[in-house]
Amino acid sequence: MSDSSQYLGSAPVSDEQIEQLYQMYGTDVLRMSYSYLGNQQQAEDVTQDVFLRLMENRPVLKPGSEKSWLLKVALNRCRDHWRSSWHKRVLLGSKVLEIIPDDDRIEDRIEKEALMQAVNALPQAEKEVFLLFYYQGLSTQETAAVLDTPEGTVSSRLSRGRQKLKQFLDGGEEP
Amino acid sequence: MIKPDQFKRVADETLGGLVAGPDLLARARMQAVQNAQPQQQRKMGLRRALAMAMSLVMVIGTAALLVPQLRKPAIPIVSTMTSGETSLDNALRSADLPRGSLVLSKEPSPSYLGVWERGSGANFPLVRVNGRFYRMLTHPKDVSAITGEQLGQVAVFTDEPALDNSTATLSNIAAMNAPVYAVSGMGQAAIAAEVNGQIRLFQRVAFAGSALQGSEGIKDAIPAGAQALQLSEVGTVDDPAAVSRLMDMLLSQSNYQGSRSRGGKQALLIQYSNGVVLQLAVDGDSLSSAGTWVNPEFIEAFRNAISK
Repeated sequence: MSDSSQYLGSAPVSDEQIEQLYQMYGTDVLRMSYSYLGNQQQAEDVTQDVFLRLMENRPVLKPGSEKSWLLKVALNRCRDHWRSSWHKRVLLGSKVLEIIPDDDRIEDRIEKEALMQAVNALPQAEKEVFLLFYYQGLSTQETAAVLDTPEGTVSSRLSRGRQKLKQFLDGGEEP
Repeated sequence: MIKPDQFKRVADETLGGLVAGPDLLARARMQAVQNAQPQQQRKMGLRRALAMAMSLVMVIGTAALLVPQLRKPAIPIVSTMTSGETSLDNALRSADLPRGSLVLSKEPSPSYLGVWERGSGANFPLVRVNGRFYRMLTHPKDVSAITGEQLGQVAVFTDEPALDNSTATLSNIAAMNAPVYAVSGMGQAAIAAEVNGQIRLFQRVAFAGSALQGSEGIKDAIPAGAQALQLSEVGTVDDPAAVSRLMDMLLSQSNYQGSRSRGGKQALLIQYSNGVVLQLAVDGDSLSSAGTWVNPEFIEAFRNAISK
Protein backbone atom coordinates (compact mmCIF):
# COMPACT_ATOMS: atom_id res chain seq x y z
CA MET A 1 0.00 0.00 0.00
CA SER A 2 1.31 3.44 -0.87
CA ASP A 3 2.78 5.53 1.91
CA SER A 4 0.41 8.28 0.97
CA SER A 5 -2.70 6.11 1.23
CA GLN A 6 -3.37 7.33 4.73
CA TYR A 7 -3.95 10.78 3.25
CA LEU A 8 -5.80 10.05 0.06
CA GLY A 9 -9.40 9.03 0.01
CA SER A 10 -12.44 10.35 -1.73
CA ALA A 11 -11.45 14.00 -1.72
CA PRO A 12 -9.53 15.88 -4.38
CA VAL A 13 -5.80 15.97 -3.76
CA SER A 14 -4.73 18.77 -1.43
CA ASP A 15 -1.69 21.05 -1.44
CA GLU A 16 -0.12 19.04 1.34
CA GLN A 17 -0.63 15.82 -0.58
CA ILE A 18 0.85 17.36 -3.70
CA GLU A 19 3.92 18.30 -1.70
CA GLN A 20 4.19 14.75 -0.39
CA LEU A 21 3.70 13.22 -3.82
CA TYR A 22 6.42 15.46 -5.18
CA GLN A 23 8.79 14.36 -2.44
CA MET A 24 7.98 10.72 -3.11
CA TYR A 25 7.80 10.62 -6.89
CA GLY A 26 9.16 13.85 -8.29
CA THR A 27 12.59 12.41 -8.97
CA ASP A 28 11.09 9.27 -10.49
CA VAL A 29 9.08 11.41 -12.89
CA LEU A 30 12.12 13.50 -13.74
CA ARG A 31 14.45 10.59 -14.34
CA MET A 32 11.90 8.64 -16.36
CA SER A 33 11.24 11.70 -18.50
CA TYR A 34 14.95 12.19 -18.98
CA SER A 35 15.40 8.54 -19.93
CA TYR A 36 12.63 8.99 -22.49
CA LEU A 37 13.68 12.31 -23.98
CA GLY A 38 17.42 12.46 -23.38
CA ASN A 39 17.13 16.17 -22.66
CA GLN A 40 17.33 17.55 -19.14
CA GLN A 41 15.52 20.80 -19.87
CA GLN A 42 12.63 18.98 -21.49
CA ALA A 43 12.54 16.46 -18.65
CA GLU A 44 12.30 19.30 -16.14
CA ASP A 45 9.55 20.93 -18.20
CA VAL A 46 7.64 17.64 -18.21
CA THR A 47 8.05 17.23 -14.46
CA GLN A 48 6.90 20.76 -13.81
CA ASP A 49 3.93 20.26 -16.11
CA VAL A 50 2.91 17.01 -14.43
CA PHE A 51 2.65 18.65 -11.04
CA LEU A 52 1.05 21.73 -12.53
CA ARG A 53 -1.71 19.53 -13.88
CA LEU A 54 -2.03 17.90 -10.50
CA MET A 55 -2.53 21.33 -8.95
CA GLU A 56 -4.98 22.51 -11.57
CA ASN A 57 -7.02 19.34 -12.05
CA ARG A 58 -7.04 18.20 -8.39
CA PRO A 59 -7.96 14.62 -9.24
CA VAL A 60 -9.36 12.18 -6.70
CA LEU A 61 -6.59 9.58 -6.69
CA LYS A 62 -7.25 6.03 -5.74
CA PRO A 63 -4.82 4.97 -3.01
CA GLY A 64 -1.92 3.13 -4.54
CA SER A 65 -2.48 4.63 -7.99
CA GLU A 66 -0.77 7.97 -7.44
CA LYS A 67 2.48 7.00 -9.09
CA SER A 68 0.68 5.52 -12.09
CA TRP A 69 -1.27 8.74 -12.52
CA LEU A 70 1.87 10.85 -12.41
CA LEU A 71 3.73 8.59 -14.81
CA LYS A 72 0.81 8.51 -17.22
CA VAL A 73 0.66 12.29 -17.40
CA ALA A 74 4.44 12.42 -17.72
CA LEU A 75 4.40 9.89 -20.53
CA ASN A 76 1.83 11.86 -22.48
CA ARG A 77 3.89 15.00 -22.13
CA CYS A 78 7.02 13.13 -23.16
CA ARG A 79 5.20 11.98 -26.27
CA ASP A 80 4.25 15.58 -27.04
CA HIS A 81 7.88 16.62 -26.80
CA TRP A 82 8.95 13.60 -28.80
CA ARG A 83 6.51 14.41 -31.60
CA SER A 84 7.44 18.06 -31.66
CA SER A 85 11.12 17.34 -32.10
CA TRP A 86 10.83 14.59 -34.68
CA HIS A 87 12.21 16.76 -37.47
CA LYS A 88 15.39 17.47 -35.50
CA ARG A 89 15.86 13.78 -34.94
CA VAL A 90 15.33 13.10 -38.64
CA LEU A 91 17.87 15.73 -39.64
CA LEU A 92 20.39 15.42 -36.84
CA GLY A 93 19.88 11.91 -35.57
CA SER A 94 18.89 10.97 -32.05
CA LYS A 95 21.06 12.41 -29.31
CA VAL A 96 23.23 10.17 -27.21
CA LEU A 97 21.92 10.02 -23.65
CA GLU A 98 24.09 12.07 -21.34
CA ILE A 99 24.93 10.28 -18.13
CA ILE A 100 24.41 12.35 -15.00
CA PRO A 101 25.93 10.35 -12.17
CA ASP A 102 26.09 11.42 -8.60
CA ASP A 103 29.43 9.68 -8.16
CA ASP A 104 32.07 9.67 -10.88
CA ARG A 105 33.40 6.41 -9.62
CA ILE A 106 30.66 4.15 -10.86
CA GLU A 107 31.84 0.62 -11.03
CA ASP A 108 31.55 -1.05 -14.40
CA ARG A 109 30.73 2.36 -15.80
CA ILE A 110 31.18 1.42 -19.42
CA GLU A 111 28.85 -1.55 -19.15
CA LYS A 112 26.21 0.46 -17.34
CA GLU A 113 26.38 3.33 -19.77
CA ALA A 114 26.00 0.87 -22.61
CA LEU A 115 22.77 -0.40 -21.10
CA MET A 116 21.47 3.15 -20.69
CA GLN A 117 22.29 4.01 -24.28
CA ALA A 118 20.72 0.79 -25.50
CA VAL A 119 17.46 1.52 -23.70
CA ASN A 120 17.57 5.10 -24.96
CA ALA A 121 17.88 3.84 -28.51
CA LEU A 122 14.92 1.46 -28.30
CA PRO A 123 11.93 2.21 -30.52
CA GLN A 124 9.40 4.41 -28.76
CA ALA A 125 6.85 1.66 -28.01
CA GLU A 126 9.39 -0.68 -26.43
CA LYS A 127 11.13 2.14 -24.60
CA GLU A 128 7.88 3.19 -22.92
CA VAL A 129 7.09 -0.26 -21.54
CA PHE A 130 10.72 -0.74 -20.56
CA LEU A 131 10.83 2.46 -18.55
CA LEU A 132 7.54 1.77 -16.82
CA PHE A 133 8.17 -1.91 -16.11
CA TYR A 134 11.87 -2.09 -15.38
CA TYR A 135 12.65 1.42 -14.24
CA GLN A 136 9.52 2.41 -12.40
CA GLY A 137 8.68 -1.07 -11.17
CA LEU A 138 5.11 -1.19 -12.43
CA SER A 139 3.50 -4.55 -13.07
CA THR A 140 2.44 -5.49 -16.60
CA GLN A 141 -1.12 -4.77 -15.56
CA GLU A 142 -0.23 -1.33 -14.23
CA THR A 143 1.91 -0.62 -17.29
CA ALA A 144 -0.98 -1.59 -19.54
CA ALA A 145 -3.26 0.78 -17.63
CA VAL A 146 -0.83 3.68 -17.95
CA LEU A 147 -0.38 3.10 -21.67
CA ASP A 148 -4.03 2.30 -22.39
CA THR A 149 -2.93 -0.83 -24.14
CA PRO A 150 -3.68 -4.56 -23.62
CA GLU A 151 -1.53 -6.42 -21.17
CA GLY A 152 -0.55 -8.88 -23.88
CA THR A 153 0.83 -6.02 -25.94
CA VAL A 154 2.90 -4.90 -22.98
CA SER A 155 4.34 -8.40 -22.60
CA SER A 156 5.22 -8.70 -26.25
CA ARG A 157 6.87 -5.28 -26.29
CA LEU A 158 8.91 -6.20 -23.25
CA SER A 159 9.99 -9.37 -24.96
CA ARG A 160 10.98 -7.54 -28.15
CA GLY A 161 12.77 -4.92 -26.12
CA ARG A 162 14.81 -7.51 -24.27
CA GLN A 163 15.78 -9.22 -27.53
CA LYS A 164 16.87 -5.96 -29.05
CA LEU A 165 18.87 -5.03 -26.02
CA LYS A 166 20.61 -8.38 -26.04
CA GLN A 167 21.50 -8.01 -29.71
CA PHE A 168 22.73 -4.51 -29.12
CA LEU A 169 24.80 -5.27 -26.06
CA ASP A 170 26.22 -8.48 -27.49
CA GLY A 171 26.87 -7.40 -31.01
CA GLY A 172 27.05 -3.64 -30.78
CA GLU A 173 24.17 -3.14 -33.26
CA GLU A 174 21.51 -0.45 -32.88
CA PRO A 175 18.27 -1.87 -31.36
CA MET B 1 26.52 -8.67 -19.05
CA ILE B 2 24.09 -6.47 -17.15
CA LYS B 3 20.55 -7.75 -17.52
CA PRO B 4 17.37 -5.75 -18.07
CA ASP B 5 16.03 -6.42 -14.58
CA GLN B 6 19.08 -4.59 -13.26
CA PHE B 7 18.08 -1.52 -15.24
CA LYS B 8 16.55 0.34 -12.32
CA ARG B 9 19.69 0.07 -10.23
CA VAL B 10 21.84 1.03 -13.20
CA ALA B 11 19.59 3.95 -14.11
CA ASP B 12 19.52 5.28 -10.57
CA GLU B 13 23.30 5.10 -10.42
CA THR B 14 23.91 6.68 -13.78
CA LEU B 15 21.29 9.38 -13.23
CA GLY B 16 21.98 9.86 -9.55
CA GLY B 17 22.82 13.49 -10.16
CA LEU B 18 19.37 14.18 -11.57
CA VAL B 19 17.08 15.04 -8.69
CA ALA B 20 13.77 16.90 -8.62
CA GLY B 21 14.52 19.86 -6.39
CA PRO B 22 12.10 22.28 -4.76
CA ASP B 23 12.53 24.78 -7.59
CA LEU B 24 10.52 22.69 -10.05
CA LEU B 25 7.56 22.45 -7.71
CA ALA B 26 7.84 26.17 -6.97
CA ARG B 27 7.72 26.96 -10.70
CA ALA B 28 4.68 24.74 -11.11
CA ARG B 29 2.97 26.60 -8.27
CA MET B 30 3.74 29.95 -9.85
CA GLN B 31 2.39 28.80 -13.18
CA ALA B 32 -0.77 27.53 -11.52
CA VAL B 33 -1.30 30.92 -9.90
CA GLN B 34 -0.78 32.70 -13.21
CA ASN B 35 -3.13 30.38 -15.03
CA ALA B 36 -5.80 30.93 -12.39
CA GLN B 37 -5.89 34.69 -12.85
CA PRO B 38 -9.03 35.63 -14.73
CA GLN B 39 -8.66 37.29 -18.11
CA GLN B 40 -9.44 40.94 -17.75
CA GLN B 41 -9.84 43.64 -20.30
CA ARG B 42 -9.05 47.07 -19.06
CA LYS B 43 -10.98 49.97 -20.40
CA MET B 44 -8.73 52.94 -20.58
CA GLY B 45 -9.81 56.50 -20.39
CA LEU B 46 -9.09 58.49 -23.48
CA ARG B 47 -6.71 60.80 -21.61
CA ARG B 48 -4.65 57.95 -20.22
CA ALA B 49 -4.64 56.19 -23.59
CA LEU B 50 -3.43 59.29 -25.33
CA ALA B 51 -0.79 59.85 -22.67
CA MET B 52 0.55 56.34 -23.16
CA ALA B 53 0.54 56.68 -26.95
CA MET B 54 2.40 59.97 -26.66
CA SER B 55 4.89 58.35 -24.29
CA LEU B 56 5.48 55.62 -26.82
CA VAL B 57 6.05 58.19 -29.55
CA MET B 58 8.47 60.08 -27.31
CA VAL B 59 10.38 56.92 -26.45
CA ILE B 60 10.74 56.01 -30.11
CA GLY B 61 11.66 59.60 -31.00
CA THR B 62 14.25 59.79 -28.22
CA ALA B 63 15.77 56.51 -29.30
CA ALA B 64 16.02 57.85 -32.84
CA LEU B 65 17.97 60.84 -31.58
CA LEU B 66 20.31 58.76 -29.49
CA VAL B 67 20.94 56.04 -32.03
CA PRO B 68 22.58 57.31 -35.22
CA GLN B 69 20.47 55.10 -37.38
CA LEU B 70 17.55 53.14 -36.07
CA ARG B 71 17.73 49.69 -37.52
CA LYS B 72 15.12 49.19 -40.19
CA PRO B 73 12.87 46.30 -39.30
CA ALA B 74 14.19 43.17 -40.93
CA ILE B 75 11.91 40.63 -42.41
CA PRO B 76 11.89 37.29 -40.62
CA ILE B 77 14.25 35.13 -42.61
CA VAL B 78 13.90 31.39 -42.50
CA SER B 79 17.35 29.88 -42.79
CA THR B 80 17.83 26.57 -44.50
CA MET B 81 19.91 23.99 -42.76
CA THR B 82 22.92 22.55 -44.47
CA SER B 83 23.12 18.81 -44.41
CA GLY B 84 25.37 17.75 -41.57
CA GLU B 85 25.06 21.03 -39.74
CA THR B 86 24.97 20.40 -36.03
CA SER B 87 24.88 23.83 -34.40
CA LEU B 88 21.81 24.22 -32.31
CA ASP B 89 21.53 27.94 -31.83
CA ASN B 90 18.20 29.67 -31.48
CA ALA B 91 17.92 30.95 -35.04
CA LEU B 92 14.66 30.14 -36.72
CA ARG B 93 15.20 27.34 -39.15
CA SER B 94 13.03 25.88 -41.81
CA ALA B 95 13.20 22.60 -39.92
CA ASP B 96 11.52 24.27 -36.97
CA LEU B 97 8.42 25.24 -38.89
CA PRO B 98 5.60 22.93 -39.84
CA ARG B 99 5.41 21.91 -43.45
CA GLY B 100 3.96 24.60 -45.72
CA SER B 101 4.49 27.47 -43.29
CA LEU B 102 3.99 31.05 -44.31
CA VAL B 103 6.74 33.67 -44.11
CA LEU B 104 5.63 37.27 -43.80
CA SER B 105 6.13 39.61 -46.70
CA LYS B 106 9.33 41.52 -47.49
CA GLU B 107 7.46 44.35 -49.19
CA PRO B 108 7.60 47.80 -47.54
CA SER B 109 3.80 48.04 -47.79
CA PRO B 110 2.65 44.46 -48.08
CA SER B 111 -0.57 43.94 -49.89
CA TYR B 112 -3.46 42.17 -48.30
CA LEU B 113 -2.67 38.59 -47.40
CA GLY B 114 -5.28 36.48 -45.68
CA VAL B 115 -4.75 33.05 -44.18
CA TRP B 116 -8.38 32.22 -43.49
CA GLU B 117 -9.51 29.42 -45.77
CA ARG B 118 -12.55 30.17 -47.86
CA GLY B 119 -15.43 27.74 -48.17
CA SER B 120 -17.05 26.49 -51.34
CA GLY B 121 -20.50 26.74 -49.82
CA ALA B 122 -22.23 29.19 -47.56
CA ASN B 123 -19.86 28.63 -44.63
CA PHE B 124 -16.11 28.65 -44.27
CA PRO B 125 -14.45 25.37 -43.29
CA LEU B 126 -14.64 25.06 -39.52
CA VAL B 127 -14.51 22.83 -36.48
CA ARG B 128 -16.45 23.35 -33.26
CA VAL B 129 -14.90 22.00 -30.04
CA ASN B 130 -16.41 22.57 -26.60
CA GLY B 131 -18.64 25.28 -28.00
CA ARG B 132 -15.73 27.19 -29.54
CA PHE B 133 -15.51 27.69 -33.30
CA TYR B 134 -12.32 27.47 -35.29
CA ARG B 135 -11.72 28.40 -38.92
CA MET B 136 -9.33 26.48 -41.11
CA LEU B 137 -6.19 28.32 -42.17
CA THR B 138 -4.46 28.09 -45.50
CA HIS B 139 -1.04 27.66 -43.90
CA PRO B 140 0.71 25.59 -42.64
CA LYS B 141 -0.47 22.62 -44.65
CA ASP B 142 0.41 20.13 -41.95
CA VAL B 143 0.90 20.87 -38.25
CA SER B 144 1.36 17.32 -37.00
CA ALA B 145 4.71 18.38 -35.52
CA ILE B 146 3.11 20.88 -33.13
CA THR B 147 -0.07 19.15 -32.07
CA GLY B 148 -0.80 18.68 -28.39
CA GLU B 149 -3.24 16.40 -26.63
CA GLN B 150 -6.18 14.99 -28.53
CA LEU B 151 -9.35 16.88 -27.67
CA GLY B 152 -11.77 14.45 -29.20
CA GLN B 153 -13.13 13.32 -32.54
CA VAL B 154 -15.61 14.80 -34.95
CA ALA B 155 -19.00 13.47 -33.89
CA VAL B 156 -21.18 15.56 -36.18
CA PHE B 157 -20.48 16.31 -39.82
CA THR B 158 -22.87 18.87 -41.28
CA ASP B 159 -23.08 21.48 -44.02
CA GLU B 160 -25.18 23.65 -41.71
CA PRO B 161 -23.11 24.07 -38.54
CA ALA B 162 -25.12 27.10 -37.43
CA LEU B 163 -28.21 24.93 -37.08
CA ASP B 164 -26.64 22.39 -34.73
CA ASN B 165 -27.52 23.02 -31.10
CA SER B 166 -25.67 20.08 -29.63
CA THR B 167 -22.43 20.28 -27.70
CA ALA B 168 -20.73 17.64 -29.82
CA THR B 169 -17.50 18.18 -31.68
CA LEU B 170 -18.63 19.25 -35.12
CA SER B 171 -17.19 20.08 -38.51
CA ASN B 172 -18.15 20.81 -42.08
CA ILE B 173 -14.71 19.89 -43.40
CA ALA B 174 -13.10 17.26 -41.16
CA ALA B 175 -14.73 13.88 -41.62
CA MET B 176 -16.66 11.94 -39.02
CA ASN B 177 -14.35 10.49 -36.35
CA ALA B 178 -11.47 12.66 -37.52
CA PRO B 179 -9.23 13.41 -34.54
CA VAL B 180 -9.07 16.94 -33.17
CA TYR B 181 -5.98 18.14 -31.30
CA ALA B 182 -4.81 21.05 -29.22
CA VAL B 183 -1.88 22.99 -30.69
CA SER B 184 1.15 23.34 -28.47
CA GLY B 185 1.56 26.81 -27.06
CA MET B 186 -1.65 28.21 -28.53
CA GLY B 187 -4.09 27.65 -25.67
CA GLN B 188 -7.68 28.08 -26.82
CA ALA B 189 -6.63 30.15 -29.81
CA ALA B 190 -6.04 27.29 -32.20
CA ILE B 191 -6.74 23.63 -32.74
CA ALA B 192 -5.74 21.07 -35.33
CA ALA B 193 -7.82 18.44 -37.06
CA GLU B 194 -7.29 15.82 -39.70
CA VAL B 195 -8.60 16.89 -43.10
CA ASN B 196 -8.01 14.70 -46.13
CA GLY B 197 -5.10 12.97 -44.48
CA GLN B 198 -3.35 16.14 -43.32
CA ILE B 199 -3.36 17.71 -39.87
CA ARG B 200 -4.69 21.18 -40.63
CA LEU B 201 -4.63 24.24 -38.42
CA PHE B 202 -7.77 26.08 -37.30
CA GLN B 203 -7.97 29.55 -35.68
CA ARG B 204 -10.48 30.62 -33.04
CA VAL B 205 -13.19 32.78 -34.62
CA ALA B 206 -16.71 33.98 -34.03
CA PHE B 207 -19.49 32.09 -35.74
CA ALA B 208 -23.28 32.14 -35.54
CA GLY B 209 -23.24 34.61 -32.68
CA SER B 210 -20.80 32.57 -30.65
CA ALA B 211 -17.36 33.98 -29.86
CA LEU B 212 -15.71 34.15 -26.44
CA GLN B 213 -17.07 32.17 -23.51
CA GLY B 214 -17.53 33.18 -19.92
CA SER B 215 -14.59 35.20 -18.65
CA GLU B 216 -12.45 34.59 -21.72
CA GLY B 217 -10.59 37.49 -23.23
CA ILE B 218 -8.50 38.37 -26.21
CA LYS B 219 -5.69 36.12 -25.00
CA ASP B 220 -7.97 33.17 -25.62
CA ALA B 221 -8.09 34.20 -29.25
CA ILE B 222 -4.61 35.69 -29.72
CA PRO B 223 -1.85 34.24 -27.53
CA ALA B 224 1.15 36.20 -26.36
CA GLY B 225 4.63 35.42 -27.58
CA ALA B 226 4.45 36.59 -31.18
CA GLN B 227 7.60 36.83 -33.25
CA ALA B 228 6.49 39.24 -35.96
CA LEU B 229 3.47 41.32 -36.95
CA GLN B 230 2.35 42.38 -40.40
CA LEU B 231 -0.41 44.85 -41.20
CA SER B 232 -1.34 44.95 -44.87
CA GLU B 233 -0.72 48.24 -46.65
CA VAL B 234 1.39 49.33 -43.68
CA GLY B 235 4.34 47.03 -43.03
CA THR B 236 5.97 44.35 -40.96
CA VAL B 237 7.48 44.57 -37.48
CA ASP B 238 9.86 41.89 -36.32
CA ASP B 239 12.13 43.72 -33.92
CA PRO B 240 11.63 41.69 -30.71
CA ALA B 241 11.25 44.72 -28.44
CA ALA B 242 8.78 46.41 -30.77
CA VAL B 243 6.80 43.22 -31.23
CA SER B 244 6.68 42.72 -27.48
CA ARG B 245 5.42 46.28 -26.89
CA LEU B 246 2.82 46.03 -29.61
CA MET B 247 1.57 42.65 -28.46
CA ASP B 248 1.31 43.91 -24.91
CA MET B 249 -0.71 46.83 -26.19
CA LEU B 250 -2.90 44.57 -28.29
CA LEU B 251 -3.59 42.13 -25.48
CA SER B 252 -4.07 44.60 -22.67
CA GLN B 253 -5.79 47.58 -24.28
CA SER B 254 -8.23 46.06 -26.74
CA ASN B 255 -11.82 46.90 -25.91
CA TYR B 256 -14.20 44.06 -26.72
CA GLN B 257 -17.23 45.10 -28.71
CA GLY B 258 -19.05 41.80 -28.92
CA SER B 259 -19.30 38.57 -30.79
CA ARG B 260 -20.13 40.07 -34.13
CA SER B 261 -17.06 40.15 -36.35
CA ARG B 262 -16.50 42.91 -38.81
CA GLY B 263 -14.80 42.36 -42.09
CA GLY B 264 -11.96 44.58 -43.10
CA LYS B 265 -9.89 45.75 -45.96
CA GLN B 266 -6.73 45.07 -44.04
CA ALA B 267 -5.32 41.98 -42.37
CA LEU B 268 -3.12 41.89 -39.30
CA LEU B 269 -1.01 38.74 -39.39
CA ILE B 270 0.66 37.54 -36.22
CA GLN B 271 3.49 35.07 -36.63
CA TYR B 272 4.67 32.73 -33.88
CA SER B 273 7.92 30.84 -33.62
CA ASN B 274 6.18 27.51 -34.13
CA GLY B 275 5.18 28.53 -37.65
CA VAL B 276 1.60 29.45 -36.83
CA VAL B 277 0.29 32.67 -38.36
CA LEU B 278 -3.01 34.01 -37.00
CA GLN B 279 -5.12 36.68 -38.63
CA LEU B 280 -7.23 39.58 -37.48
CA ALA B 281 -9.43 41.44 -39.94
CA VAL B 282 -8.77 45.16 -39.55
CA ASP B 283 -11.25 47.92 -40.32
CA GLY B 284 -9.99 51.26 -39.10
CA ASP B 285 -9.45 50.83 -35.38
CA SER B 286 -11.39 47.55 -35.19
CA LEU B 287 -9.80 44.13 -35.14
CA SER B 288 -11.86 40.99 -35.58
CA SER B 289 -11.44 37.27 -35.21
CA ALA B 290 -13.31 35.77 -32.26
CA GLY B 291 -15.53 38.85 -32.09
CA THR B 292 -14.46 42.45 -32.52
CA TRP B 293 -12.13 44.63 -30.48
CA VAL B 294 -11.37 48.30 -30.80
CA ASN B 295 -7.83 49.49 -30.20
CA PRO B 296 -6.90 52.76 -31.87
CA GLU B 297 -3.74 53.02 -29.77
CA PHE B 298 -2.43 49.77 -31.17
CA ILE B 299 -3.04 50.80 -34.78
CA GLU B 300 -1.33 54.11 -34.18
CA ALA B 301 1.61 52.50 -32.39
CA PHE B 302 2.00 50.01 -35.20
CA ARG B 303 2.19 52.76 -37.80
CA ASN B 304 4.69 54.61 -35.65
CA ALA B 305 6.84 51.50 -35.32
CA ILE B 306 6.92 51.19 -39.10
CA SER B 307 7.67 54.83 -39.78
CA LYS B 308 10.86 54.83 -37.66
